[in-house]
Amino acid sequence: MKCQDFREVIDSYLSDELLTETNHDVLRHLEVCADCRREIEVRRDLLAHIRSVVKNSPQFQIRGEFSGNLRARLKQSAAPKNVFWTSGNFWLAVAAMLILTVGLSIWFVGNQTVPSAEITQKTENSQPVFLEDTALGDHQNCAVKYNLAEEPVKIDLASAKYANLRQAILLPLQNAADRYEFLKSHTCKYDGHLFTHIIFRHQGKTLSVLLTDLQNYQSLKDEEIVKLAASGYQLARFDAKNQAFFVVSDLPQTENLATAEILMNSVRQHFTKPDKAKLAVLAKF
Amino acid sequence: MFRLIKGKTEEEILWEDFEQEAMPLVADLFRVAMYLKRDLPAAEDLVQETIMQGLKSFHRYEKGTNCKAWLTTIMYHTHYKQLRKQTNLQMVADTEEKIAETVQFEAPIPQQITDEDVLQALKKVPDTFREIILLCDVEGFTYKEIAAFLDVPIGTVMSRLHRGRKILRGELAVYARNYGTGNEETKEIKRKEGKLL
Repeated sequence: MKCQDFREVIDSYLSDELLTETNHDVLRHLEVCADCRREIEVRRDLLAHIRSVVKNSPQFQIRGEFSGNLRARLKQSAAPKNVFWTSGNFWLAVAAMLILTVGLSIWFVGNQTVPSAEITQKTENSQPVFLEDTALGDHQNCAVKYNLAEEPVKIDLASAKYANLRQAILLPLQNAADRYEFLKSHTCKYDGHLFTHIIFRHQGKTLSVLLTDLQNYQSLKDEEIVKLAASGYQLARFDAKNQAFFVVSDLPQTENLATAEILMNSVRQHFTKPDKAKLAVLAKF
Repeated sequence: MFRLIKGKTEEEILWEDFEQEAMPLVADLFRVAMYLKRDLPAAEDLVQETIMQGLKSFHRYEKGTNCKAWLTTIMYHTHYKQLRKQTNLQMVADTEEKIAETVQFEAPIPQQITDEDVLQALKKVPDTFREIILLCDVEGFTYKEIAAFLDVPIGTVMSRLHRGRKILRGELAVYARNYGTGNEETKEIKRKEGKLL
């Protein structure tokens, strides 16, 4: 292959669209031709620059609110329809509803202190949960890319409440058979959400434990762990005491879940039986 | 320990698969929608319609294949459908040859350009070529996939990409020259123009 031939196929070579044989010809030519090597390097750099600029340009970034609403609409449209009507469970449900309605009416009449507006508002605010997206975004931008708009704040200064809770997270992981290396902890803000963020190194990967107040977001059931996979990351979430806990990493799903399971046990114990002796030991970390 | 979900309905299984395969691609789809619409509300509408359609048809998606390309195909179909509704779309004569004639000079590749230069230079590349550059170089679609989106032969994709990259290099060279940067070839041009030194 000559330089002129190389120039004719350079675009297809860059797009990885050449036949294997032609590709070998190109590689052989590049081995002996410094000018073409330089040309290809410059063009590769340019393509990488274009890719990076477009992907990071604000005009091409999807709005978090839009993607959240879209997910809600999709989930709603994907919900099972009409299955119930044909099953025997339907009449059971009708009976249960009647009992529940009567029960609630009696309770409501006898309990006038609860304003009805509050109930309505809670229902409206308990929109589907999209905290997962935000937690994943925080892991990617804070722990992986160090690309947050606001500088993280040292954890103990930011919130004493979370400083204690942090210890309930550190202990079980540091005592785990498979080593979790504690890297740092702070509070950071992503997409309007304030997270307490504890970062570990585990099996050569970065693992984030993120905590945030649920506020009006819908809580998960007790002992429930939700797992998600997105953009090459694994995310596991559980809730405790009106707070959402996330474990995010690019570890295998089983590892990420196992970490969440360890933490859920510890956090639940922390909330039910606070062990002051343990906390005192941990305060030394 | 985990709450195991038993007795899932077909819809629930489909949603779970869709959530895992398709939902992480929404941001990528939005970019493609912006290339097509260049307007935020219109792009969001297109993404929504595409993803809704994708969910409806997800049972036809073959697992393990390229989900992004599959959804982008739906997006292009939806886009063309919207265009047909808006106007009585008629194909006009391809202006590629005319544009290509204006880019005879093989522009040197600048090496020091800013992000803003890249975005501005991209804006100056005619739509037909810019679309291919973005689909191939930014989104990483293959020639075959792009040909399917645009319903054109692969050869057309190749030639448009070649020409588009050439135009883009030309535009970027202008920025590099304005800064007095760029590679030696660029500097040589400036020297000849008497602008360096």
